[in-house]
Amino acid sequence: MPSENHVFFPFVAIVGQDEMKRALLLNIIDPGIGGVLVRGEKGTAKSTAIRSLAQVLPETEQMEGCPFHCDPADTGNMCPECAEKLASGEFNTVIVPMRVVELPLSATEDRIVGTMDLEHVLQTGRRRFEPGVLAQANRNLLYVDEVNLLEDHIVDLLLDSAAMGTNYVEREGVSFSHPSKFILVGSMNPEEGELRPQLLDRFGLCVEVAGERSVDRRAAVVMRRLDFDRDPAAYTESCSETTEDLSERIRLARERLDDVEVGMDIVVAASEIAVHFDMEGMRADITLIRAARANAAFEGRGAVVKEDLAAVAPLVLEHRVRRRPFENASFDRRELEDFLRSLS
Amino acid sequence: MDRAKKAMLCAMVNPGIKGVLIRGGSGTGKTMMVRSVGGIADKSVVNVPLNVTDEQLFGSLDIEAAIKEGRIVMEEGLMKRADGNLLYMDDADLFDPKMLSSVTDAVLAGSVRVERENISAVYGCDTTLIATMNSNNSYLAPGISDCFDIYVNADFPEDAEGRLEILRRNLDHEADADGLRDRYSDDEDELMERIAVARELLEGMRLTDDLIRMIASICMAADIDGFRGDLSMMKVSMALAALDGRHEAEVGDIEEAAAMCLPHRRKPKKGHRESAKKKEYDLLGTGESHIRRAIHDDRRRKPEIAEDDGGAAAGSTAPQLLADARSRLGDEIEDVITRIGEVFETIDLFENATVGTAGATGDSGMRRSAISRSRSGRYVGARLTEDRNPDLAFDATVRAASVHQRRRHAEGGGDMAVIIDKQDLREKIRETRSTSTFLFAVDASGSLVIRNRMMAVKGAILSLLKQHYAKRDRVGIMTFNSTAIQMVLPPSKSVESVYNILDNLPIGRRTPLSAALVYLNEYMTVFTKKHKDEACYVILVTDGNANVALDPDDEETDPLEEALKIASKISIPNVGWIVIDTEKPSSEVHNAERFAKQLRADYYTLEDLRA
Repeated sequence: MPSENHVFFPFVAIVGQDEMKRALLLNIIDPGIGGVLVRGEKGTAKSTAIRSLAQVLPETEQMEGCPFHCDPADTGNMCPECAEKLASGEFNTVIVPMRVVELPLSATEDRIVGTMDLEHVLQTGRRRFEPGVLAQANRNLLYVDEVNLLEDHIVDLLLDSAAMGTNYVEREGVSFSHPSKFILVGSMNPEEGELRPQLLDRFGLCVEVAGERSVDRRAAVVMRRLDFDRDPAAYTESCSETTEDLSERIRLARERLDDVEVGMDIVVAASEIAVHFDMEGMRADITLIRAARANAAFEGRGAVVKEDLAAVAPLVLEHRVRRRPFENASFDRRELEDFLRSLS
Repeated sequence: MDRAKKAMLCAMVNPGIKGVLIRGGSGTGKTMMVRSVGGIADKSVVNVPLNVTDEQLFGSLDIEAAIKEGRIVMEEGLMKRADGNLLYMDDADLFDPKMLSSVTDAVLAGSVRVERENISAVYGCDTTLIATMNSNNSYLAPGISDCFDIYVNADFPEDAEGRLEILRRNLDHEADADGLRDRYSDDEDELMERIAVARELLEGMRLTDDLIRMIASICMAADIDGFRGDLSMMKVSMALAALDGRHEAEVGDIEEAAAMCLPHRRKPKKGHRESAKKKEYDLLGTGESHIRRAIHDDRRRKPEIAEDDGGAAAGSTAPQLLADARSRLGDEIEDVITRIGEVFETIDLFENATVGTAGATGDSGMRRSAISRSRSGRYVGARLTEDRNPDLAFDATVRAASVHQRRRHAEGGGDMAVIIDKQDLREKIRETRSTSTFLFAVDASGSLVIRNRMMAVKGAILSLLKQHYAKRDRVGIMTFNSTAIQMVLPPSKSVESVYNILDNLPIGRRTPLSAALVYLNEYMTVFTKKHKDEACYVILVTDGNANVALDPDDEETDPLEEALKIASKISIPNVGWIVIDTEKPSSEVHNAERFAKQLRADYYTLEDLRA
């Protein structure tokens, strides 16, 4: 990350962790799913996977020179400057890959939200907005490591912005707003404290990641890491074809997404699942359908089938199964399997 | 010193080794050794002091450049200086955990990302973190200790000769620094040569598949979370082989690496009983014998690795190894474990408890906001400052300067649009939601079981916790009986584990109240220093019938009087005490009440707690 040369371990070479990878990929295909929370023990490649995701992120069209990466096709959600440019007809667009923007744990509010441009004011006496991390994150992926350790008021900031898709800044002599719509990915180790219920619910999908309990897989992790460390560039090169394939697959899925059919039977099944597991509100139902649709697109199908629902249900329900504090109950996979079988 | 030195050499040889954790009391020459090895490898040692701020560590706004020249420039922090050198943190367990976490993240990632106080920057930080811990009570959160590749115990050399050598070197150094350097420069040259040779050997080194499998099996048998243990072992075993002048790593290297890389990653077993000799349970534990057993298991039964079928059958050897290791580890468990019984409605103890917190406002029972003393928290206002490096409230500063602009420009104050003077500087007032810490000290002696009070106690604790769960407070549980004083759950925000812990509290015999109070005093003194803005409560759950003196062999001292005396001497600022009396209501004697008086604690009986 310091320079463009910093090479991350190839996403496609990560051993196992299929559910986590799937959850991340689905969100790239349909950002409306609402992000992913990755929970798990320490040292299970959570951060590695998320950071290397950049290798398969698709390209998007952006207004040239815009710090908020405004979408030329989305005229309703533009920053003031881009709106002007569009109106005057004098603008250029560029095609740029999506990025993974990280939020450092020690970030201060002013840098996250944006603030007054100090240099500019001191030198010219004029106010100017200096964009923060939320600006960088627009139309990208925002990764928050150790999200459970974030300060409360910072969490509130993220929540506000993510919910509205816009960042409203009213502070330190600055009044400004800009689009801020991002895929929120958080990782955490539950041993270090739980997430506040409001934030938990905000994540579309949740994955529990556990360490490998198979000697084979553990050994494979070590072997691959060894090869990578020896020559990162060469190892990455050796994975390039697989990486390309995955990128292409994602791109196609995004294109197909709107055309994937969601039959009435699927909608009903989704509702039945939500009711059976006692879900509050409609978020679970909607997320189930969106995720299933993205899954179908990824698998190259023209319509959603029950298998898609089965594949995504654990990811959607995991963190929403109503748990009282101190209860040991966690989401029961077997119960889900039985229920799904009973549906078909 | 031998083991610690070897660990350091491994780190110098293999740049992939990013963290070395050294435990040893003061005066074991750790610092000297680190400096000398660092010097040999041509790296300077950047020391991180205990009271370091985020700004000093990661970098901050150069206020002068901003104000005088209107330029945003970052002032280098310690991390930048550590790039290409060594980062040294003494007493790592006393640092703010969040800061420690930021440091280990940066070290592992090899870069620092700064997003604070008008500064947005990224810079490389290629360094090795050497951290030390000084006492047997030191505790590091598992997430942080896992970031260290190697852990060694650098105790005093066991033999007299070794001690003499250290002493002699110390005295010699004072008397004749130059001469000493010459005398030992041969050693240094030899080491330098060894390191250079080892680095070259490392380049071409590979690990055979068998050895990698061995690493994986050992880590599984030792029940190590995540992959870092495996990866560390990989890096260390190769470094060891290289240091030994070999082209290939061998089984012996793997074993040695295991003893260096795994002991600090073991999960402490809840409810595990220590032998009667040790009064305190070293959570970090050397655990070397455990690891050795795991290694021998692996060697004795060469696991037949069939194809991986999703872990169900392929892991068949692992649970066996695991079960064997566990059964051998566990002592005879006489503990009676009771299930958590009724959970009844309780009054909120803490509504009435009185603890002063600097800056706390608001009613009890409501979320308190404390004026934060660190640079974290919501910006709520500004004030004058004399600080040389203030937490700058830029807008307030500019506003303060604005009224003087006309005059300053007329006086030819410079060509900046806004001319700022020192008197204009304003610093931010920040507010943060205060966290409270609740430490339950539970008397886990047999008397509670006999009277079936244990269930009620657990129920009461659970109820109290439920009330405070949503507020993100910290909860810790410590138990004591004649066998052990255990910090079963160090204060943490993770309340999920509390349920399991309460379910598995060990029950022993007799009540060493004196020792428990001494332990609590020490622990809380250190704890409050680490968490200055917070209110802490210690809830002592006991019947007060102390029957073990501080020195268990002492037949003369009355344990009860001794404990009461210790209690009267305890006084830690920001810590409030509460005593819950578990004695039967019908009993005539209520010793717990006397303790409450000595501790100036609020006193409740279990019956009182029912709302």
